[in-house]
Amino acid sequence: MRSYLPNRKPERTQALVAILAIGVLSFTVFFWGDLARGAARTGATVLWSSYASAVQAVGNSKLLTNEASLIADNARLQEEVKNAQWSIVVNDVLKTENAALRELLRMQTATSSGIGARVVSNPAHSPYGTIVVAFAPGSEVHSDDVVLVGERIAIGSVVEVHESTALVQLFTAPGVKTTVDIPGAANLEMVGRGSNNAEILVPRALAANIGQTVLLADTYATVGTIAAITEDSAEPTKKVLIGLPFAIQSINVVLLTPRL
Amino acid sequence: MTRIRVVLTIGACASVFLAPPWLPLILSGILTLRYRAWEVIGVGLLIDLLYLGPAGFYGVPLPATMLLGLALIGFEPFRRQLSL
Repeated sequence: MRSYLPNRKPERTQALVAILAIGVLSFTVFFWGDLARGAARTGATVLWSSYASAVQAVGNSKLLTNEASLIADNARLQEEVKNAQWSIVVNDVLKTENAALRELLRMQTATSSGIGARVVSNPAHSPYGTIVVAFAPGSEVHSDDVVLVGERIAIGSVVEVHESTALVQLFTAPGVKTTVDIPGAANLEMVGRGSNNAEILVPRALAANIGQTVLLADTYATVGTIAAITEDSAEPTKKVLIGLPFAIQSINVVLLTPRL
Repeated sequence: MTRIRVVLTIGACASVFLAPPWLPLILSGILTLRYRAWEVIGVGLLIDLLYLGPAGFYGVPLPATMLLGLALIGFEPFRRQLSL
């Protein structure tokens, strides 16, 4: 006799297969999580690098350009060169002045050494405020190393190291707590708020000004500048908002250096 | 129909690598609204494998986006209501 009841067998099989797959995946990640993450990030590095090369190749080719855009690009680049030349002059003056002041105060120059690494993932693509960096295999990179841009700006710390890649947690990632110093107060807790921002709660009596630099505790490295201060007369503390002077998305190379 | 599902799944996986996190979320949402899409758990797991550190999110060491994928599959009764 023909049955008119709905046939649920394929759905049950699908659900059983899915449950089995989830179980196997969870087991793998739980027991071989480090291995799985390392393999995933190494594989992704190849994909990210290929994508970046392809984008660069298309950008360099004249396929998508016309005369008007080339003229606009030329004008923009000439303007950038002018600005860069002016910055070089200003920087030279500041450098000379800085050296003279250091000589006067008998201060030693703080230099950073570390391992150069390439930023392979886009910080805007991670929901957790992390970036993946790639370095030469065999380099001495350790968890908790500080990640610097240039020699003086710290953007995060290494949280996981694989053979040739590492995961970096940005100081501005949501919920990340970092110990910092600001002029007049030491060992304050900075809490990341995402989108290149962080905040510190300080006593209302503390004199903090917009534009002052915030240093990573016990180092010369800057983690950002004070972008805004909000206070409520009913509260004993005020909120100092920290911003980065540049967009993290624009960084291509970083320096991984041991924490002091 | 299967072709659309495959395209959406590939789009969600590719956007994990190459797009902001809201795009895989939207594509996974569409997938779970239209199909019984167990693959969104895999998309969540991929995000966790690539970007989640050992300390987890807000100090909670759980695969947050994989669990979000599992929660998205909870759209099933809603999908049935829409008779999709």
